[in-house]
This record gives sequence, structure tokens and C-alpha cells, in this order.
Amino acid sequence: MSKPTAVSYFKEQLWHSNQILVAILGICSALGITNRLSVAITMGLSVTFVTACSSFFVSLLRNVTPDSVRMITQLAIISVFVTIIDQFLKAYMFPLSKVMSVFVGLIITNCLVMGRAESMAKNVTPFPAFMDGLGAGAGYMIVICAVGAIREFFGFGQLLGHQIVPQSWYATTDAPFGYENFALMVSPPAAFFILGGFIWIYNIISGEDHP
Amino acid sequence: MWMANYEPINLFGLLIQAVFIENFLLANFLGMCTYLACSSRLKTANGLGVAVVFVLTMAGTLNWFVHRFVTGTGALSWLSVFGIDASGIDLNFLEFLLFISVIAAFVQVVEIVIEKVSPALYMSLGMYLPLITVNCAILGACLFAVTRNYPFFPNLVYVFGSGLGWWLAIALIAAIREKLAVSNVVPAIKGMGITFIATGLMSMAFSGFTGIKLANPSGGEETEEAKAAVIEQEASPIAKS
Amino acid sequence: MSEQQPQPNRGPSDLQVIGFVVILSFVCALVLAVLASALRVPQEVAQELDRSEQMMIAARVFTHEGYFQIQNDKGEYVPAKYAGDGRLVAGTEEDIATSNEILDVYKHRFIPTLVDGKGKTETFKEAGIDEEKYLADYKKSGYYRQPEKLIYKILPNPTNGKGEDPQPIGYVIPVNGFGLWDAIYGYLAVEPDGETVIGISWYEQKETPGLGANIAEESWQKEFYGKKIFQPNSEGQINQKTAPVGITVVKGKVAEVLGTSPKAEAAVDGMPGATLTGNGVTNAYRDVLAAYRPFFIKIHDKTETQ
Repeated sequence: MSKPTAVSYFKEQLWHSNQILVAILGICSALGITNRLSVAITMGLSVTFVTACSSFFVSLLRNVTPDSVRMITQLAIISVFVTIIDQFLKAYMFPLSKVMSVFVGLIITNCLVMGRAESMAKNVTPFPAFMDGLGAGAGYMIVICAVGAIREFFGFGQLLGHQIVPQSWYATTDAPFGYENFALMVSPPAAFFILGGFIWIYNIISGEDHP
Repeated sequence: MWMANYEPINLFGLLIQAVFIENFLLANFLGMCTYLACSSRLKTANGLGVAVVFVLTMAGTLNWFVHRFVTGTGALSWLSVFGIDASGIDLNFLEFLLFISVIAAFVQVVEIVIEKVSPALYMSLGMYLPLITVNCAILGACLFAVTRNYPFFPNLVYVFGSGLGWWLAIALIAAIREKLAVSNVVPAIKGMGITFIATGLMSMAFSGFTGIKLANPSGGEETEEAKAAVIEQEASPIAKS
Repeated sequence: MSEQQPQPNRGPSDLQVIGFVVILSFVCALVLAVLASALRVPQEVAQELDRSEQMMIAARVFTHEGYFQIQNDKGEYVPAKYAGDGRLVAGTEEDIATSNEILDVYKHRFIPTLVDGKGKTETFKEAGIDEEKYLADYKKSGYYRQPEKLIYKILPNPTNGKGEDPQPIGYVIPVNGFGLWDAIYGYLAVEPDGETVIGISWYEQKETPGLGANIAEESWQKEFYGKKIFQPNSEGQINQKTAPVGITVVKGKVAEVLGTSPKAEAAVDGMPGATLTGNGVTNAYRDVLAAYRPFFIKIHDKTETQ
């Protein structure tokens, strides 16, 4: 079958065409929601699910979709999957859904999902489209989890809610020169700086010039 | 429903809040993708900004109606005019689908109208419109407005202000990028990398606006209620003895 | 539908396009409707569970770590575990409560009732108000603004005998306010003397993570244990009829700002970098508790005469 090709779609999305670092798509949620690693992981998994499934269905319907309603069809399919995720979170992971609130809905307009549907899914057969979507989501997830880990570690001294930096290191009124959390990491501008840094590193490693 | 207990001064405060304090792009990070793709020239950025303001204001208002009469809690009670008791039906799960459909449909209609009415305007603006449908800022502003349950006019001011704020941010960064393009930037960070860092710095600057609270409704019943409680129990010791 | 063969000028006809869109919309809406009805019950359970947990945290019946609590003979709080029928017995920190246990204890021990403007309690039935509708309608605007205000009675841990009407060991008040970004919702549990705080919780807030969002953290909430909701005068006495009501979140530490003044009993430390959220909390307590003042006076007088 086209198995080697399908897997190569997956690998391509992970590095060479990584959606965040190369195509610069899917940034909004990468910035707004990477305060804590647990939230970043949930978001990454949600986006992967939505991208893979919607790419699959868009590809399935690609031959019967009239051209004039192409975009609306893609949006409709994507919103169905996002609603599925939203409903599941509200039912089984309620505290997490409270934190993520509107950002789950914003996966619909996440350029990453639309981008994959528009550029890939409507041109290839369903299974490669699915793998492509899966890879895009996985690449996205790796990047935002890295950002989330850095922000949570430096901003809270924790990872996944567990205290990593020992409590005894912290500054108190008795020991004013002790460790303090890097508060800037908790606020949004830090995400910009970290992503800029990642792009820099990526460009150096891959040796390509991305204007 | 139209104004609830918002005074006109609150509307002004809401506008300031939406443009500067909770700037959609620099404080909430919505609408980044189009922003990053189209901000290399000031002219393009302006065109995009105007289009966003227009679409966001109209779509935000339309979606307010959708939420109020279709998908909000108890929204279908207007069907009682036809004798159907539908106040218990909860269509909240259709909200995402309906909102994005309204936005997409509206943009489509606007594109067609502009093309027919003013080809010149279409040439300068028309190509951005499809891009705007998927701009997270549009859907985001609609969803934020819904969670805050604004009455009609505050909602209108809020979505209009959000669009303006987005335009402001994209114009600012485009101006900066035009200058950066001719400066000496380290090759690996040129382009996107440096744009991110510049945006981060701008976002830090805008966070200086946090905490200016202008937009809370200051219309009057609740303060009466709190006062009444105190007065009543002050009166009662006399009544008791 | 196979009109995609080279059609030089027209794609599918308008009717086919409309037909496609209609079918697509119908299928999408159907899928979502089925899913929504299937998940409705788990969603309601999840919401109720969250709310119950938060109320029990405020009443110090449950902890952030996930296990129950009871008071031992010395009045200290020790871990507890579920023993059936809403009862709790001493246990360890390892006895993490399950959802059903939490909901059961909540059902047995937290009774929603109404108080009116004069402090008189009555049940929903006596007031002729539909409980579900009342709870849903006024959640956002605030129960404290209604002529009949919501309050929850905390019943004691049931002992083996099927008791008569047990006396409440406290009351939980739903608190609404506005933080830095958006509305905040929480609970405040008060002792039967009508002035001492048992505990607080904040179950819905959209404050800045790491700063204002600390109001939901245990480390800040435990500052409220034993505080007073009325400001004592300089001799340390509380006159419930005239004292200012509410708990103040000071900027900085209470020890530095108020020192040994009796006013410190109605104040807690602020959170650095989150002054505005702290102000929101102060305003929330002041506005909400003012509406319940007649009730506090009534139950205080009742405790005095006992």
C-alpha cells in the first residue's frame, strides 16, 4: 500500500515542516496556554486528535465537496471534532476544562488545523492525510510541551504540579537572598521569547534560512 | 438586555479596556497567525486591520443574537410566542458550529457585496477576507463576549474595541518590521525569530496597562440593597426592646 | 454527485451545492446532538462534584489533597474516611475519596436553604421557590442580591443513631465578586456564632496564573481559618450591628500593616503581585456578607443565649 509514504508524511511534519517552528502556524494557543505543562499536554493531545480526524474526513469527502463551499465544509468538520473534545473534557476532566475554557473552542480557528486541511487533506487519500494530521499535531505538541515545561519550571518551580525546586531554597523574610521564581515566565511575553529562541535554535540546527 | 446596568461612561471604559488593556493580540494572543504572515509591510497591515475591525464588529453582533436566541441557556424561550415551551432545551453544544458558520457566511456575503459594489475596494481589501474567517481573534472575541454575558450595547463596544486593538497591534509591529528588515540582525534569527522577540517586548509594554478598571457596570440597584440591610437591622434593636 | 470531471465553466449545480451543505449540516448536528445527550449526565455529575468538593473544602470537611477530614476531641482536623451513609470515621491521608463518596457526604450534610432580609431561615418549599430554577437563574448575578438569599446549613457528622433535627455546625455562604479579569465565585463557611470563619474556597476564577489565581490555592486559603468576618473595635470586641463587615486582604503582610491591633482578626496577608485580585476578594466579601448581616446577628444571639 502506501505505507512508507504515509509514515514519511508523519515524519516530515515532525521536523522538516514542523508547524510551529517552520510554518509558523498554531501560535495563538502555543502562547496563551503553555503556563503549565499539564495544560500544554492536554492541548497538544486535543489538537492532534482534531487535526488527524478532520484531515481524514476532509480527505474522504474531497471528491464530493463543491469548490465554492470548500472552506465552510472544512470548518464544519473541524468544529464537530472540537466540540467532541470540549464535551469530553467537560464530562471527564472538569477542573482542566475550567482552566482551558475558551481555548478549546479556539482550536477551530487554529491555523494549523485549517492549514493541514487546505494544503494536504484535500489533495491526498484519507490514510496519508490522517498520518499527516497526526504528525502535525505531534510536532505541535512537542514544541508546546517544551515551552510549557520551561515556563512551569522557571515560573513555578514545579513540573506537572510537583514541586521540583526544593522549598528550602526559596527566599523568606529570614533569608532574603534565597531563590525566587522567575515571575516573567508566568506571563505571556515569556512565551514569545521562548518561541523566538526555539526558532533561532531550529534555524541553526537545520541550517536553513527562513525569512 | 440592551444596556442592563451599564452607564455610557462604562461603555467608554469598555472601549479603552478592549483596545489597550486587554488588547486581543498582545494580551490574549489571538489572531497571531495572520498577524505574523501579513505584517511585513505597513500598507498590508492597515488593510488587514480595517477588514478585521469591520468583520469583528458585525460578526460579534450577529453572534450575540445567536447566543441570545438560540444557544444560550434558556435562549429558546421566545418560542413560547408560538406556543412551544422550549426553555428547557439546551443547544449549547451547537455554539461552536453556529458561531463559525455565521462568521464564514458573513465574510462570504461581504466578499460578494464588495466585489459587486466597489471593484476598487475589492482589489485592495478583498483578498484578506477569506484569511479573516479563520482568524482566531474573530471567533475568540465572540466566545469571550459570550462568557462575559454582556448586554447588547456593551457587546457592540467590546467587539468593536477588540478589532481596533488588533489593528493597533498589527500596525505597530508592521512598522517595526519594516525597520528591522534593513537592520543588522543575526541571520538565524532574522525574520520570524526577531519578530517574536519584538512582539514579546511590545506585549510586556502593554501589560503595564493591567489593572485599570474602567469597564464594570456602575448602574445602581445593588448598593441600595446592601445599605438597606444595615438600616433594617439598626432599626430592629429599638423595635425589639 | 460526480461532477468533478473536467467541467470547463461550471462545477456542480447550485441545487447540488445547497443539497451538499444541508446534508453536511444535518449530519454534523446529529453527531453532536447524540454526543451531547450521551455526555449530559457525566457532565452534570462532574460539575456537581466540583461544586461539592469546593463547598466541603470551605467547610473543612474535605481537603485539596483529596481526602475527607473530621475534628477529633481536641478540635484538631484529622484525615477521615467514608463509612457509609454520609458518615466519616478517622482514617489516613491515603484514603482518597471517590466521586460517589463525595457526593453522598455532600447530600447528607449540606442543606441549601434561604434566609430573608430579616435573617429568618425558610426552606425552598416554605418560600414557594423552585430550587433548581433559583440556583440556575441567580448564579451569575449573585444570590445575595435576592430578597431570599441562598445559604447552606452544615450538619454534623452523623453518628450511628438516626437523630432528630441536628443543629448545624456552621453555614456556607456563596460569594460572588469580580477579580482582575473576570468574575470570581467561591464559598465562605462560618461558625454558628455568626462571626468566625471556618474556611473559604474559590471554585471559579480566571485570574492570572501564579499571581491572582493563588486564591484557589490551599496555602492562601488557610490564612482564613479562624478569622472574623466583623471588624473588632480597638478593645477587641465585636458589635455585629455596627461593625464593618467583611475580610480585608491587606497589601503586604497583616503583621506589618496592622501589627497587634485587634483589626488583624478580620484581615489576611495579601499576595505579592496580585493586589488587584486581593481587592476584588475584599470587595466580594464586604458586599456579599453585608446582605447576610441580619442572619449573623440572629444566630449569634441564639448561640449567646445557649
